[in-house]
Amino acid sequence: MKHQVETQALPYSTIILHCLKYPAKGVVGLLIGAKKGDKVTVTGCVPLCHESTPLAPPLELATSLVHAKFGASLVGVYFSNAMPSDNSLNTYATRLADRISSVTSSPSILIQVMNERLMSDCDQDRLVAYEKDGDNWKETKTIFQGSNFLRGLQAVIQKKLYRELADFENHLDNPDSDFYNTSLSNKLVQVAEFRA
Amino acid sequence: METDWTQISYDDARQTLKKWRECGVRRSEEVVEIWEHVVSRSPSSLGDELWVVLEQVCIAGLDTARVDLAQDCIDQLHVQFPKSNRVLKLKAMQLEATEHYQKAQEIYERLVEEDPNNNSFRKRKVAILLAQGKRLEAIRAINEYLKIFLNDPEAWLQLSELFLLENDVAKAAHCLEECVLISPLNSMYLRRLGDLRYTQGGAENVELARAYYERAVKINPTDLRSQYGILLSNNLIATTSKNASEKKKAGVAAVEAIDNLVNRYQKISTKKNPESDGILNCLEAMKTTIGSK
Repeated sequence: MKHQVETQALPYSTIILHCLKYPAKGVVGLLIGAKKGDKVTVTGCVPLCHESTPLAPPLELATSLVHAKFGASLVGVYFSNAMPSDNSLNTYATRLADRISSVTSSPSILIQVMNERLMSDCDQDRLVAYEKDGDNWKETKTIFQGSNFLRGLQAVIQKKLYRELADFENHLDNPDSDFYNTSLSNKLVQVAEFRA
Repeated sequence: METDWTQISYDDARQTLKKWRECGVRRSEEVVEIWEHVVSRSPSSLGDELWVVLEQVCIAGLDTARVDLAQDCIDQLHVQFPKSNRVLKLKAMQLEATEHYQKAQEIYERLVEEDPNNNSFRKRKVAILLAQGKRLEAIRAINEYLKIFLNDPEAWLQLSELFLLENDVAKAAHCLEECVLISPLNSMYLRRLGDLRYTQGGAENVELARAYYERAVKINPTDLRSQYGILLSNNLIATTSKNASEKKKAGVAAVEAIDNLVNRYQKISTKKNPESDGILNCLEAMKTTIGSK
């Protein structure tokens, strides 16, 4: 185990909202953050798509746009599976993470949303992180900020803010939608009183 | 700002439900909201439309884990249509939602026997396999289904996705070819086929992808995905082709595609999408890179 992964409240919530917007589907997105020593801090995320088998064109496009904007801060990929009980690694997500590693010439991390923990009364970490070890993805340690900020997240969910989230696919369907979710992020900070 | 469905007028509510019913969009949570906050206040005002609305709300209820609401709809429908197979299907869907797959399966088998031409009962049998994650069995079942209902694009799309989950892009593309045969003027199918061929990779497939994107854009000139597809496929041909004139032609076409995209993004107000300027800059940068090749 080489890295510890800490996901800040804002990207954490955005990832969960992406799942909640598409309860019947898997989702995939990119992670923005910083690496320092053995710690990766995820400071932002960019939702890409709501299908478990995203094809190359939208992923290539989004990767080059996001890489152009964030450079080496593009640190990895998050995903969730469509089925609640399916905890397997999605090969489309792992392939994208491999691609991110080659684009940034730095090992990327992979975060999976554990669907069965998306219940409001669950106090476990909903995210599990992986890093590449040889040819395989191995689970690595996450630093979980705990119940305080889950309460903030709950407030956000009650306001149904997930309906305002846009992913890159939404953007392709309607270029007016901002897949960086600038205004949603501001609202999340306000409603949940996250420290930005 | 998103619409607050709990606050809309009765007439808007009715129209919205009708619209979503007709285009088959899956907005279950919102359907339930509209029903509970607006329409259910005066169900009789719907007249005979009430029954299809109850069916719609029932399915939305099942989709959002509101079994209580679904049961209520089924009860009312059962009183009105005691012998209806359509209501029995809702009952079976409720069994599916509560994971009583075997019981649901038995009802669907009876319904198929009674009405072999109604494809919706057969589709539910596939849905049961999908819900249980039985991918290979679902592929087999859809193939059987397609022997009878060859012209059902929804089934081909589902089969295509299952092949993608099995990492078989070639077979997934074949399914989309069937969709294109069924409706050759549907730009969504053409573009999806382009995406699949591009994903499959290799010079021949990328050229096919380009051709499909071009046809998609002819049919639907505002489809942003196809416009990007034209850019990506031409860009790839321009970098990988061994034929100098092909290479040059593709480079020119890629630049042209960027110009079209730039045109599109320039019309977006940064008030709506504050990041559109950033995307514009990326496109301009891409143009310089391609132009210098």
